[in-house]
Order: sequence, then structure tokens, then C-alpha cells
Amino acid sequence: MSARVEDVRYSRYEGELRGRTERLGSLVWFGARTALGARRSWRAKIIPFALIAIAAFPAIVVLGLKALLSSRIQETIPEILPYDDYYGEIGIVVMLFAGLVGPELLCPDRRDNVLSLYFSTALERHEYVIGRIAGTVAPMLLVTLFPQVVLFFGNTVFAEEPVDYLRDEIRTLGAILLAGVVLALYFSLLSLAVASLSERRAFAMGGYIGLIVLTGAVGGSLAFGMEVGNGWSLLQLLIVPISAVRTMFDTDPFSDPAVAPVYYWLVTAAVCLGSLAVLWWRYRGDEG
Amino acid sequence: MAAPPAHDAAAIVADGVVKTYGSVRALDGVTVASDENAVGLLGANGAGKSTLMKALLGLVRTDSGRLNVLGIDAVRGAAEVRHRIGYMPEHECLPRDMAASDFVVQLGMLRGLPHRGAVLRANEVLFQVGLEEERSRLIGTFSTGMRQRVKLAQALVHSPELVVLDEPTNGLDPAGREEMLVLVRRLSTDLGIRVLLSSHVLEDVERTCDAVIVLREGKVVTEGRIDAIGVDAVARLRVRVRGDVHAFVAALAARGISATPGEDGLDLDDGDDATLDAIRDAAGEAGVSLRELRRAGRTLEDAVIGAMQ
Repeated sequence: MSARVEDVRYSRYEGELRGRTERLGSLVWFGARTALGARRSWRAKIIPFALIAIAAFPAIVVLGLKALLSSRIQETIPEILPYDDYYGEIGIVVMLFAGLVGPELLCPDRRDNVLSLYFSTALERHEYVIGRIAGTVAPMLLVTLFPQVVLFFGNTVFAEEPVDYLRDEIRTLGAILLAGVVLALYFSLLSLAVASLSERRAFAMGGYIGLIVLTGAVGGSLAFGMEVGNGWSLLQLLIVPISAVRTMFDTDPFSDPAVAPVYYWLVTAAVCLGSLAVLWWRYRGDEG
Repeated sequence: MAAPPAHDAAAIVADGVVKTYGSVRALDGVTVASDENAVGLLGANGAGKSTLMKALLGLVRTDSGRLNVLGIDAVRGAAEVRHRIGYMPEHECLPRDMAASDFVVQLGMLRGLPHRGAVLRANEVLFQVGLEEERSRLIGTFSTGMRQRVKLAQALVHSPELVVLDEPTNGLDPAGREEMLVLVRRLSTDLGIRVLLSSHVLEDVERTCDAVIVLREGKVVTEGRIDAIGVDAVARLRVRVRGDVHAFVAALAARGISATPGEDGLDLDDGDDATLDAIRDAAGEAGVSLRELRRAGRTLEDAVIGAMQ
């Protein structure tokens, strides 16, 4: 292999350089691609796309049934999968997807010392963190938002009066959009915060899942097993945000209606802010 | 190929730059001005080379003093400076799970190139560093030499006016080192890119740079053009032989070479291959054996060691 500099095909870039927003957008774009295994082997793609397929599976089944059954029969059966129940059905998938994506974006950068190169460009530390958050949230929307949107528009198409359905359920569509974004943000931040503590993807993913399982077990045991108090259910990091977003569909949180919905939102917000604080702490420094 | 462009501003101007880490003064009043196309930054470990380079990139904030890069204040205009220079770190800094071309494209976009421009430029610079055929391979599968070339390619992708190279031959085998040195030299001579090269290998600097800055304990101990800092303008050869020295001198004289016997051998004016051939032939004719044949006089190494002592 030759390493000579040839006198051909070298030119200077004379065009205009793009601004800060576009540069940040490139970090988000490459991050989202990395999370989905783009330009890598099939092994890097199979798990994220399998999780997306599993998340969308309930919606596809419901819409498939509606397509197969006649409208007369459809009217005789209750709504198979209410929108507010969907997040409970796919909560584990959402959690796993975040556990996959967050460490995938943060850990290799630290492990391979790529940060020093990123920061030698005009990229600032806080921009890197914002780019990684957005790069995680974007693919997360494929599991928190995409299936619900497919279900909603499928239901609209199969409705007796699609236009009426759309008009009547437009508020539900707003709730779907907001819930999808909130869940994507919540699980992304939590996953990234844990991932920022390790250079190893396996440790980060294990730590993140362990944290959610542990808090779920402790919160559930204290609230429902030992019956110490209903408030302890707010420790359950998987259940809490799902319960919070269910309130947007005018449904009581399913874990424990005795706890006021506002507390689910407060804990969700606190976890997000705490995760941001961890990220700020980890990337504030003078390294690189 | 077009001639390298003329440069408007001095590459580096430092005036009393101080940077301390706790009780350690990493840069202790560094004052230097360099306008050469290729400058070597020399110094032992801990001399302040890396701190000075990070300060030039705006990655560390200096405590006091003025630091200009390409005419821009490196503190207040750090983002602008980083736009206009490329940086090749010494340590491993490449993602193993990305293809070389994807990584160089990404770094190009982070430095402000549009996607299409970044793709074109990435292909160009990967070709320049000899990785055209390998550009789609994952970096994790590359040898050390290939990874060094990727690091150089990413530093060049946005057409910088100045590249900062930190120990570019680190970890390379002799063949890879030779290729990298040729590559680095041609950046300044053929491609019109200014080079600031940090190294503790004097030969690397001697072969690739026009000038040097020597640091010791955070201070500049000497700077200037290589051919002006203590390197003898007329190089000489030192020859030691075993046997009849006078017969050897006479044999040399018969070949038109004057040599003065001294305590430690003979000093001759340096010459071309014909001189070396004459020395070999004279030794054979006089029946002496050559014990030593090397360049004499003050070298860059002598000058740097002298400055650092």
C-alpha cells in the first residue's frame, strides 16, 4: 500500500462553511444512524430493528384484525387496544431500546477517546451533550411515537366516518405526540446518564437495566408487598413515566390511583433533571 | 498543481503565555513568533508541548499572556481558530466501529462542511494519505500506520490553513514512519498547508520542518530556522582509521581531498557520493581499515541538547 501524497485530486474547499445549528445537526444525524446500526454489519442492525418491530407489533395486529373483520363485526367487539394502554404493553421494549441506544452513542466515544477530536473542532462540550441527547431521542421516537401514530391513523382509516373520527379524536392525537416525546426524552436521558458513567457498553446497559429493575422491585415491594405506603410506588422508574403520560388520555395511572397524577409528573421531571445534571457533571471537565 | 497559497498572518504568535495546573507551571511565559511553513515543537516529556498545542486550539484556557493563531486571538476566537486549523492528536482517538470514510465525513461536517462537500473532501484526503482502497473498512480493523493516516486525513478534511500534528510517527514501524514523514513534509512544500509538528524525535523534525521551537520546563529555550540555530553551515566528515594514518592522508591528497589529522581522527569537508567513494578507495590503497565515518560538526541534536542543558 502506498502512502505517497499524489499531486492530483487535491483541492481546497472554497465553499461557505455551515453554521452551528447545521454542525450540531450532523452530530444528531450520525448519532441516530449509529444507534440504528447504519453502515455496519447486520448484527448491529438486528436488535434495534427487532425492538422497533416488537413495539409496532400490537398496532399492526389490531389494524390487521380490523382489516380482516367486516365493519359490522367490528362494532360488536370492544376497542381491542386503547391508546393509553399501549405504553403499558410496550414499556419493556421502550426501556430496552433506550438501554441499547444510549450506551451505543456515549460509551465508544469515551472508550476510543474520540471526544478530544470532537472538541478540537468548533464543537463545544454542551453542544456535544445536546447532540447526543437528540441523537438518542430521534430513534427512540420509533418505539415511543411511531407505533401509536400508525395505530391512530389506521383506526382513522378503518372508522365508519374517518373525518368524524379524526375530528373527535384530535385531542388524542395531541396526547399521543406529547406522550411519545416525553417517554423518548425520559428514557433517553436516564440511559445516557448511566452510560456517561462507563466506557463499556455492556456495563452501561447492565447498569441502566439494573437500576430500573431494582427501583421497580424495591418500589413495588414497599408499596404493594409490605404496604408501607402508596407513595413508594413512585420509586418505580419504568412505571412512573408511563403512568404520567397515561394521565394525558384522561386515564388514572394504573399502578396506584391513590397517588395523585401530579406526583408521577414531578418524579418524571426530577429524573430528567437529575439525568441532565449527571451529564453536565460528566462532560463539564477539562479533558481532551 | 497550483503553487501553495501565500500566507497573510504569522502562524503562531505567543507573548508571555502562562498556564498553571495547581503548582505546576506548564507554560511559563512562553514568547515566540513563527512565520515558517513548517515548525517543529521540540522538548522532553513534560516540557509543555501538549499544553501549548491545546492552548493554540483553545482547548485549555491560558492564565495570562497573548496567543494568536493565524492572526486570531486563540482565547476569544477559539471557535474561529478551530475552524481554520486541523489537529492530529498523539493518542488513539478513532472510533473502532466506524468506517474510515464515514468518520472523516463526520469530522468534516462538524467543522462546517456541507454533507456533499464533506463526502468529496473525505474521498480526496483519504486518497492523499493512501487509504483510498481501504476507506470503507472499519477503523477497528486498521493497522497502527493506517490509523495514523486516518488521523491525518481528518485533520485535513476541511482544507485547514494550519495542521497541528502531535507525534505523528508514534507507534509506526520504520517503513510506516518513512511514509508518514514524506507525507508530512509534502503538506507544507506541495499542498501549501502550514504545519506545527510536535515530536521528541529530532530526526522527524529535521526532515519535515523549516524551523524549531524548543521548550524546557514550560519556557522557550531556543527557536528559529533549523539552518540557523547552531547547525554548521558547512558540514564536515569525521574519519577514524586503524593503520598508517599518514599513508591514508597521502592517498586522499592524491584524490584531491585535503584532510587534517587530529587527536580523534581526520576531519574532511563533507562531499557527495564521490567523496565517500574516494575515502573507501584511499583506505584500500593505504592498507588501513575504517573505524568510523560520520558527519562531524554541530548538528540540530547538539544544538537542542545544548539549549536544554
